[in-house]
Amino acid sequence: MNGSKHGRAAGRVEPTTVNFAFTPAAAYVRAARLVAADVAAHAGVATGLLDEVRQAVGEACTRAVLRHRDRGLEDLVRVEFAIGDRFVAKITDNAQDLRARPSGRIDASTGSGDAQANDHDAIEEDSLSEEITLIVLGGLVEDLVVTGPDANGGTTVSMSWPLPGSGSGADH
Amino acid sequence: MRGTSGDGAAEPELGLSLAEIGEYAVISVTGEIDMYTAPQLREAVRQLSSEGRMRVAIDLTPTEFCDSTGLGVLIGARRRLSDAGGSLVVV
Repeated sequence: MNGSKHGRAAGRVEPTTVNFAFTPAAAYVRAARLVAADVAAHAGVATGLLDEVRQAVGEACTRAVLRHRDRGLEDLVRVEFAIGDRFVAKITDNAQDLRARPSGRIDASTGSGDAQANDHDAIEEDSLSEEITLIVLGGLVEDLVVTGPDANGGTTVSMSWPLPGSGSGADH
Repeated sequence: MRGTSGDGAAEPELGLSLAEIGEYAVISVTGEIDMYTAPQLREAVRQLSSEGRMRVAIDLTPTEFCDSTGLGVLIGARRRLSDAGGSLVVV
């Protein structure tokens, strides 16, 4: 606020963090993606990328809510945005296995579990959705990493988008 | 939950309007299709097919947002309708 003299003289912007958590209910996914778009806009993410951020964070949160719902978990879904060299979004769930099956069947090694998805006619959209979220995310986001299970047994979707001026060594 | 009208940000509900064009029942969708609102769209298609209307068109032109849950509903609707000898058109 008070005209600090070249706080970024070192060329490195201090990382700023916004994080929150929400009850795994469908109603709050919209809030998460609106916050994502707003924080990204504030961080300086290019206008043309904001829809991508909004969609991607929405997909990741949808996936997390589905994973909690499938396993009956009430734990909060955690969302974190970091503004540094890039705009980073991380969405973390607490569901143990990488791919939750409502039937109780658990695939430990799920590289691509599309084969067994086909043999049930009765598969409803909801049970397909977790896979669809990842497919959409994969097509949408260039820098996408899904890690886990972590110490708490959950997985994290990490994504990042470029910020203007980062990496270009612009000295001002 | 819903229906806490009054204060607060108006939550843009999903808007579904029905029209009849040729032999198709056309559902025009406004607002945002996501995990929260998609069940309404799914229900609308189910309603139509339970009335025996198996040719359905979904008009996404006025839709502001659609996520993978919406895609899932479209895929499911297409499968159900074609299994019943109908068809789904997405505009």
